[in-house]
Formats: sequence, structure tokens, C-alpha cells
Amino acid sequence: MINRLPPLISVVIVVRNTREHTRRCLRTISESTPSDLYEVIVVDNASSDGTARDLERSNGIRMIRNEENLGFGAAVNMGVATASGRHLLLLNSDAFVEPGWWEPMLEEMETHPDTAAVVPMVLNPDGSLQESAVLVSGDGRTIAHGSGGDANDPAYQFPRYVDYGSALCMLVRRVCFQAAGGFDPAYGQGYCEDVDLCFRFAEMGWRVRYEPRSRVRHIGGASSDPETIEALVRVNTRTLRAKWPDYLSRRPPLSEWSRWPHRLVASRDVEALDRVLVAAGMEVSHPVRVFLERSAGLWPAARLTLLMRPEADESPGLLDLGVEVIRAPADMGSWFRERLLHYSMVVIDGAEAAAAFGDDLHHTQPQALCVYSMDTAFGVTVPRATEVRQLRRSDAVWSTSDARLAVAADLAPQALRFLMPADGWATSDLPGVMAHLGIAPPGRRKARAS
Amino acid sequence: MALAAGVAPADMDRAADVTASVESPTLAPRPARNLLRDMLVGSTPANLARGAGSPGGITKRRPVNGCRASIWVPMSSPTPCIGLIGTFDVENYGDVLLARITRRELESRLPGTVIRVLAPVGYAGLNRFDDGSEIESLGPWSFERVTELAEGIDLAVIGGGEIILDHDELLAPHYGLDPAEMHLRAPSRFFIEGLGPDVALAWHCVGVPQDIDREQYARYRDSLSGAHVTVRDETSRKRLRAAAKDVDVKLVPDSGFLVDRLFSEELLARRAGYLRTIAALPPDGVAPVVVQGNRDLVPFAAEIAAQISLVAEGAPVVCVETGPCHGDEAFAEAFAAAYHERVWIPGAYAGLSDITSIISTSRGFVGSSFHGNITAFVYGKPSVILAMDGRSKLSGLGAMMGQPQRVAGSAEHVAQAFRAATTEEEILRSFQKRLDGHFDHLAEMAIEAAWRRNRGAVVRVGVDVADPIEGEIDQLRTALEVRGRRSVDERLHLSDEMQELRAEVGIRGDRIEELQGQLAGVRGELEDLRGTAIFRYTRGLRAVYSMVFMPIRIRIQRRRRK
Repeated sequence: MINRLPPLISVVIVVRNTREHTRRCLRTISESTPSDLYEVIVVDNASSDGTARDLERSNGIRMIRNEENLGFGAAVNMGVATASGRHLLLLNSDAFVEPGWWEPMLEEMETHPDTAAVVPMVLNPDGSLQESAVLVSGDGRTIAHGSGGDANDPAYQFPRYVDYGSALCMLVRRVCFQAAGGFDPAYGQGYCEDVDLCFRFAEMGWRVRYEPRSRVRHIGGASSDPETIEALVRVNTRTLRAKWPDYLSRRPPLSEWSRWPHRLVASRDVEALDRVLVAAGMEVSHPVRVFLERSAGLWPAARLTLLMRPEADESPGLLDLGVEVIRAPADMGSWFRERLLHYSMVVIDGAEAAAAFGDDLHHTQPQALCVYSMDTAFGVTVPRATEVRQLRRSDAVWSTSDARLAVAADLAPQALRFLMPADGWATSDLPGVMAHLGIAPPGRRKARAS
Repeated sequence: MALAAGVAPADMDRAADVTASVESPTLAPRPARNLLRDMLVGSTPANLARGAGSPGGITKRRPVNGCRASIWVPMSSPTPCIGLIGTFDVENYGDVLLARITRRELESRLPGTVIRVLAPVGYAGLNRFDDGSEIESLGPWSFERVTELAEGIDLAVIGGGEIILDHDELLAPHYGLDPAEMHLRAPSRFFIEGLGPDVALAWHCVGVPQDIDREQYARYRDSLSGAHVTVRDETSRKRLRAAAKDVDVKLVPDSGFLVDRLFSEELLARRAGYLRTIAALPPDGVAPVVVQGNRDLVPFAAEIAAQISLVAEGAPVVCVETGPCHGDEAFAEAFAAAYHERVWIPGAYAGLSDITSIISTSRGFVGSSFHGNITAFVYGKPSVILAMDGRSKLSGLGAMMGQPQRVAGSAEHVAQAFRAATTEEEILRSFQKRLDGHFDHLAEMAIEAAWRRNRGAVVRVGVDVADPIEGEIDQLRTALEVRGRRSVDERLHLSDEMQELRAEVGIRGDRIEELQGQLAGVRGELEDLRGTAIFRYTRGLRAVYSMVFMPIRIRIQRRRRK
């Protein structure tokens, strides 16, 4: 007997009367995934349209047939019981993976051992955005983030830790799924059991990650009618509220989110207690860019946002690191209002940024620690008065130049001054610098044992 | 508690005054200094010798169940790597349970430690009990393979289970392998000899199922000198002592007695709920009797079924398969056919936590599974150890638990044994305490082994200093997190208010605009009126009215208001 390796991924699909969708689902997997990477387990919940019969004739699929509809959660648990992959891909029968779906998700799993699950960007059949992960409201309801938006909008392009990702397509570390006890049968036929699972992951010290480089198209509502779905969601949301009152109480209410768009941003970043906004001009200076890159590595749970002028150059690589890169929209007023009082630290990278964004930041982020990165010749690129005003508003000043720090000392004696290496701070020095600025060193409280 | 040379126990009470002289292989003895301060900034003798000031990670042993055997060991060396070697790839509840419990206990004592789980084959197909953790294959034994493994492993922990065998062919049926192939793989060489002289060796509550061949005695003596040897029953101890008289063989209960730490009650309840949903368990209500057997018990299935009906007294019966590799499925079929009522068989849908859940909430357990019986004992359930095949480990288990009456050497004694079984909370607690001490020792071995291999000085301070400091750090993090959340909540609340105010200002602004519009309209009308002929022609009359009659009218209105 030759020593075999288990497949890396066990794809678990629960089906019920979705014959054509299931065929397409399986086809897209086989077309976009190396065959030795995965196995497929299909759990049929008493289909009456011949789905199970059809699938049993397919090669390479392990079938489990239930004589009655046991619900989504129990069916998935049954599929997982017969899985041997290190990871599970939970996939709806009406979800179709796009080419290249698996590499970014697997990469996330391999590079972040505390990630329990990864979810991709979900598209509508027409290619528009269905969800870039999901926000959970304080009342237990869920809202698809970015629904109807442009899938290529940078606002949805950066990977981030999320509250909850839908099990319509979710790559889960099997050891985490087992340790969490699988889906809770309390949610019956379906809906909200995946929210419950993600909350349990968080309670055990693991995270769920959104990875937009992986994409899947989803039809939605294939196995139930809208009235049934609504009824199930209503009942199960009550169950969720009863099970997780403390967890939900930390989340902003999103019932009138269209009227209060700032709550969407607050909900998106609810677990990111450290939030840093870097405002740059036409490009990010090298030391500040290094600061962003290293901070992204040290504080993966923090929210890092880079705001640039509309005509600024691309910032390759930062999106992939999880930095939210925003080119200033036409309606900057609305953008800033959506982020009113949102950030704990603001870094203004140079005089151009001070001229473009200084006043708005001063008015909308009065609570934030304001750091001015002073790396252009003083009073040359923008009027001196603009820089002086920015200096006097700042709580701290960075510069690679002693001379500029001396100017800062004279004009803004209240500000802390940091001499920054020309190549930016080393990773080992950054926690100390940030501690002086009020950002806690990386490290988390001990995760609870399973 | 072991202390570094020269450190008096009395000094341990005052953390700030802890001093010691330290000897390292590469340094002359140093003057006494504040070791604790040095530990906190990471300067160890090894670091000072290298001139490095790299911050050191500090490990501590966590107090477990009241055992406060805390040790601080400053380390700037790599964290220990432990190789956990055994038959953890077999589709058997007990073997996989042992690996999970051992991993959990070591990880809780040595946070960040790398634990590699190694087994003869690794992955050989579906294993309903595996949870997705990686199990590496030992591969066929060879000097090259041993050297390769020894490179990265500081401590080899062998066990548990009955894996100390001279004849590898005996393992073949459990893997579905040809005996000749198993012989070639020679896993017993890993189990008995470990990973060579450079890797510390610990036998972890192993069982020795047969007398050791005399010609193997020397092999055992050589392997075990210097090793930490623990076995789980007296018979195994006697067998080992016969082969290696000078080796100190300690008796430590099977790690399975810590199963109640592995899964929370909430998780076990959830799994039971799921099993009921898929009709693998009877509906909630009367606790079932749980039965289990292997292929050797198939001939006795009917007799056992008869006895179970006496035990169950109308309660439902569940038949679990703890050892598919031992032919449990065959017994389940035979038993279900023989029993007069429906038997619930979870089969392949019952994994590790499910079996634990089923037994922990049962009326009692009747089976040949060593760890099935241990699980029942831990959760305070009566159990019957079906020992019809005469295996010593089963009768030994009954004796060890102080429950020899649980052992049924024949089917006809099952009901009697069930009724005679009692719970023994004190015995369980003493087992768990001994196991805690044993795992504490393994953790110490791992740290010492890692230090030794990195040629660093080992400085051990036997004080409970670690706990308060670690606790305080954890508390500070908690406080920081709570303050961060409070700040975020407050800002959101303020933001809500400001947005509402802005909205209200906007509404009022709209209203003002509206009123201004109306005013403009009214003004326009007034201007139009003023431009009319009748307005011009009545100017004189209006002047008289305003001079004469308006004041009178105003006076009258004022009197009325008063």
C-alpha cells in the first residue's frame, strides 16, 4: 500500500431539487480546480426532481442521500463527517466558482493560522457585486456589504477580517469546524447557522477573512421560495439574538442604514479597534508607505485606510496587504461624513495632503491622534500658512530630517516629534513608536480552548 | 520543585529579590544578580554570552486544576518541538482521543510549542475520528529517516495505547495492510527506540500487551536508559521490568481520564442535537444504554443482546462503533439483528466528540472499548467492560478504576456487572491529578531538551511569579480592548447624534427656505397690490384712517386683552 495524501479540500454541497444548478456548480469546480486538490461530497436532502439519481451516476462524487429534508446545517455536518480534506469548501448548489478561486483562499489559510474560514467576493449572475462579506446588525439581521455595487471598486477589493461570511461559499479549516462542533441544529432548515458558526469561531479566538481575489457567482434562493426564506430568517434571527446577546449588542443597528450610511462603515470595522487613516497627495512617501506595509503585517486586525488625491498613481500591493485604498471621490463631503469620528489615528503625508484634506480631517476626526509626516521642503509646495496650520493642529510630527523637526519644534512645540529612518521604521521598532502614539502593541488575549 | 543551583527556597518568596548564580557550559560562574529582572528583559546567560539583547519569549506552565507547579524558563531559543508518536492514524476512538488529549495538555502548558503528530502510515483513507489535524507518516524505518526526524524534534513522546510490540505484523490488521509490509515499515523501532540518542525520549502511559521476547531485552534496556518511562497498568510494568530491571517504570493512568477537558458541555449537547436530527440517536427523552463490541464479540451478540434488554428496562439502545479497525461494524450489525427492539446506530456519522457526547449522556455503557469505558467512568456513568477475549488490559482497567465488578468475563454477567458499577469521583480526581503531574513533567522535559540542544544554560526558578505577571498582562490587554471598544462606541454614538443634528438642521433649513419662499411670495403680492389704482386713489382715506381710527382700535384691543 502506497502512502496516499488526503485531498487538501473537501467540497461539501447540500442539494435539494436543484439539478441543473448542481451540474453547473460541479462543472465549474472541475474546470477551475486541479483534480488532485479536492474531493466532492454531495448531501441530498430528499430531492424529488432526480438530482440525487443524476449525481450518483457521476464519477468522483461521494453521495449521501437523506430520505427526508434534514435542513442545511445537519446535512453539512453529515458531509463533513465523511470528509478527509484539511479544509472544507461549503458551497451552495447555485454558486459557481470563478477561475482562480482557490489559490488566494488557500494562501490565506496557509499564512494565517488563526484564520478559521475565508469567504470570497460574491457576484450576481450579471457580474455586479452581490456581497463583499456581510455585515451583522445589532438586531441580528444581516446586510450584504456592497450589494449592487461595482465589483472592481477598490472599496471592495481589499482583504479584511469580517464578522461573518456566508456559507454559500466558505473555505473552512476542518479542525476549526470540528472544534466548534459544526453547525448548530437549533437553526433547523436553514439560515443564520453560518452566522452562529462565525460567532463561535470568534469566541474561540479565530477569525473569518474576506478575500476578494477569489470570486464566485451566486443565483440565490434556488431551493426555497422567498416567503419560506423570509419566515426561516425571521425565526432564526430570533434564535441568534437569544444565543448571542452580548456579541450583538456591540454591533451598530443597521435598520435605517440608507439614512445613516456612517453606520455601515462602523459596522464593517466594528472589530477593528485601531483605525488609522493615512492621507496622501499624489503619491505616498516611501517611509509612510513602509509604515503602512509593516503595520498591515503587525496589526492585521487594524483598519488601515489610504486616502489619495483622485489623480494619484496606483498603489500596487497595498490592497493585497489589506489596506483600504481610496481615491478621493467627487463628493468628499459625504465620504468624510460617513467616517465622522471613525479613526483613532490620522497620518497626513506631506504638505499636499495637508492642503487637500487637512481641513476636512480636522473637522471630522477631532478625536483622532493627528500625525503630520513632514517630508517636503517647508513652505515650497504649498503656502507656508497651510503647513503652519497643519503643524499647529498636529499631536505628533514625523520626519526623516532633523532640520524639519527643528522647524516643527519651533512652530508646534505641543507636538511629539519622531525622527523616522529614511527607509521607514523597522518592524521591530514600530510597536514601540505606535505605543507612544496610543496604538497597542500587537498580540491578542489568549484564545479560549475548544 | 526543582531549583537552579544556589537558589534557596526562602528567596523564592520575593520575586524582586530572586537571585542565583548560574553556571553555563560556556561561561565562568557569574556573580549573583536579579534573575527575574533579567528574565523580563530577555537577557539570559546565553544571550549575554552572545552579546545579543534579543527579547526572549517566556514560557510558563499553566496551573491546571489547582496544580500550581509553575516554572518560568527564560528562552530566547526556538520553542520546543515535540514529536508525538503512536498509532494515531488508526480509525479507533481511543487512539485518536489520546493524541487529542496529549496535544491539548502539552499546548496548554507550552503555548506556541510545535507538536508534530507522527504515525506509521499517516493518511490511509477516511478516518471518521480525525478532525483535520495533520498526521505525518513515520514512513519505513531507516537510519536516514530517524536522523531526518531527529533534526527538528527535541522530545519524542511515544504513546499511548498498546503499541510496545516486538512484532510489527500484529499491527497490520488495524491498517488493512499486509503483515509483510508492516514488518518492513517496522514502526516498533520508532516506538521502542525513539529517535536516537540525541532526542529525549518519554514513553507516555503505554501498554505492553505481551511478554517481551528474551532476545529483545537488551534492545529495551538500551533504549530506555535515560528515558522517562510510564505505563498505564501494572501488568505492563511487570513486563518491562523483566526486560529492563534498572529502568524506573512509573505507573500513570491512561490519558483518556482527562476526556472531560476536551469538549465543552455545550458542544456535546449540540452534537447530540445534530445526531437526533439525522435520526442517529433516539429522540430526546429517556437516556439510552450504549453498547459497543468488536469482531471477536460477534459470536456472543445474541447473549449480550439478551443481557442488554435486562439492563435497558425499556430504555432505547444505541450501538456505537468506537473501533471500525477492530470490526465494530460487524458487531453492530449482529447485535441489532439479535436485539428485540430498534437499535440506533450512528455509524460513520459519529466522530470523536459524538461518541463522547453519546456516552456522557447515556444511562450507561457496555462494551469492549477501553476508552469507551474510561469515558463512561469520567462522566460518572455505569459501565461494563466486556472482557471475553481475556485481554489483560481490560481486566486491569477494572482493577485500576477500583471497579473490578465492572469486568464481565462472560455475557451472562453483563446485567449483574452493570448494576454493580458505581461512580468513583475521588478515584477520578486522583487520576487526573497524577496525569497533571505527568504532563507537567513532560513539559519540563521538552523545555530542557530544547535548551540542551541549543547549548543554552537552563535557568529554572520555582516560584509562582509567572502567574501574576502573565495574568496582569492579560488583564491589561483586556482593559485596553474594553477601553478601545468603549471609545469606538462613544464615537459612534456621537456620530449618530451629529448626523441627526445635521439632518435636523437640514430639515429646518428646508423649512426656512420654504417660509422665505412664502414670504417672498407674499411680498410680491403686496407690491402688486400697492401698484393697483384703487390703492393709489384710496391713499388719502387710508391716511385719515390710520391717524384717527387706528389708535382708537388699538386702545380697544388692549383693554380687551387686559
